[in-house]
Amino acid sequence: MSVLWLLLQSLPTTILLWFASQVLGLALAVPIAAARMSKNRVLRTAALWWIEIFRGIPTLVLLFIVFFGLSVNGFSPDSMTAAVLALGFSSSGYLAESIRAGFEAVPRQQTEAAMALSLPPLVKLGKVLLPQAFPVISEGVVSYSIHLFKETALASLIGVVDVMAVAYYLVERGVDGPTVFFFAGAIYLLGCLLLAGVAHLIGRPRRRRRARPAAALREAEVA
Amino acid sequence: MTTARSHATAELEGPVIKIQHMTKSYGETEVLRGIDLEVRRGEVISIIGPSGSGKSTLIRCLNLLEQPSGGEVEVLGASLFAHGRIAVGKRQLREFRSRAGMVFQSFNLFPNLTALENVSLGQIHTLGRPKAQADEKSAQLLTRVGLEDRMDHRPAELSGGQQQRVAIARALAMDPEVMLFDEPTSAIDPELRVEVLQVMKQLAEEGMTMIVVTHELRFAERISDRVVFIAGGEIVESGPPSAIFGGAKSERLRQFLAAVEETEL
Repeated sequence: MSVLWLLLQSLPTTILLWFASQVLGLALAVPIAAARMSKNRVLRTAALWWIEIFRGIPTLVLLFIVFFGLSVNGFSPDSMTAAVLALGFSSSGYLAESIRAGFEAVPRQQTEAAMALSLPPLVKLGKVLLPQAFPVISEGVVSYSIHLFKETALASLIGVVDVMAVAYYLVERGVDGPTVFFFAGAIYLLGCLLLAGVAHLIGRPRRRRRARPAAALREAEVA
Repeated sequence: MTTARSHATAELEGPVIKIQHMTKSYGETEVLRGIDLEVRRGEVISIIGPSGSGKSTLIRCLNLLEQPSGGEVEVLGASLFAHGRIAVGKRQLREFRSRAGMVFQSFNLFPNLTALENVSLGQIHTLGRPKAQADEKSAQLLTRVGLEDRMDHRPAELSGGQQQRVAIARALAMDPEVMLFDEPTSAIDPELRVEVLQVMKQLAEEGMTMIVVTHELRFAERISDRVVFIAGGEIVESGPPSAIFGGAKSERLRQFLAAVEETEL
């Protein structure tokens, strides 16, 4: 199966692009989410605009803007850099909202209890709020991550040689189109299934913990 | 920190908490319309009244979990709130809050931590106690509230009555000068309330200064030095339990007591 083999050879590029964009997206999302939840109105508004802008522009448009339009001191990014920047920035808005959703899922009473105990702000964040927000945040991040893995295929349009780009190339060279895209699709699908599987494993302890209380409570009341 | 506390304690003869003309509004709605209250050391005060009378708001304003709209709050002689704003820095406010133990209606335990960890967290991070010492104190307190065999359980594995006892232990672990209870039994099954009330009664007998917002009138009658009846955001009547439950002066209190009695029978 030389078609599959050729496609798989470009898989590392797809994975690298996905991973780098995810890391950049998260690195941007954390301060943006913090600003979005800040008491400072200017920060909050700025973060809101950032989120709306990067969520509102189609990834493909963003990709073209960065690749064709961005030029710093006469230096233009190569296609891989441009793709990471575009995918990372467009991810940052979604990811920031996932983080915010996680913190908002923690009941306000938890903050009050931390206040009543006068816990220092960082302890409140690290020991009380974050552990409770984390499951919700990770659900959002993982589901976006799966989406992002597929979105990397767009980068082929600005010349990144990923799985999709090799697929185009093979078809242009006369290999049967449906066969090539069937394998390309299968590779993306498998990648996504793998990510979903990992997400399921990460979420398992939490689901188990959630399932336990009812039984434990009954037991406790009998005791 | 502990020495500073005992100094402050020794110097003080006056009220532990003194509030004057406290008001609180949410937009147009006036929830508190000028409350005056003094709490002396060792005193147990119950605050009773119909739902929506402002009881809970009052107790939440006492440790400034909610900011009053007006009036003054003095704690141990220090002015914490005056002229419509918090009169101390963040650090002092935190110091003060750690001296006022708060017990919430919905327990508000940290679900990600075990009972023992819940009780130790503030000791370690607010008071700066070494972990071993904090855990030892937590174990003592949990034993005292009858939960020696539940220390490693998380809140979700405990009944309401057990969770609230952990919450009381958590507040006591901070060596508070005063304990504030905001309807501590309202969210608990009737059968399990007694275990919480017993712990509170014991605390009262040991001389803890307590302010208790409650619907449990019998309990209020038994443990309080003073009962404060609030309706419509004002203190309508206050006095020793015998005067409140025995010979209500105001029509509003008589109505309230009659209504409660009807549902209790």
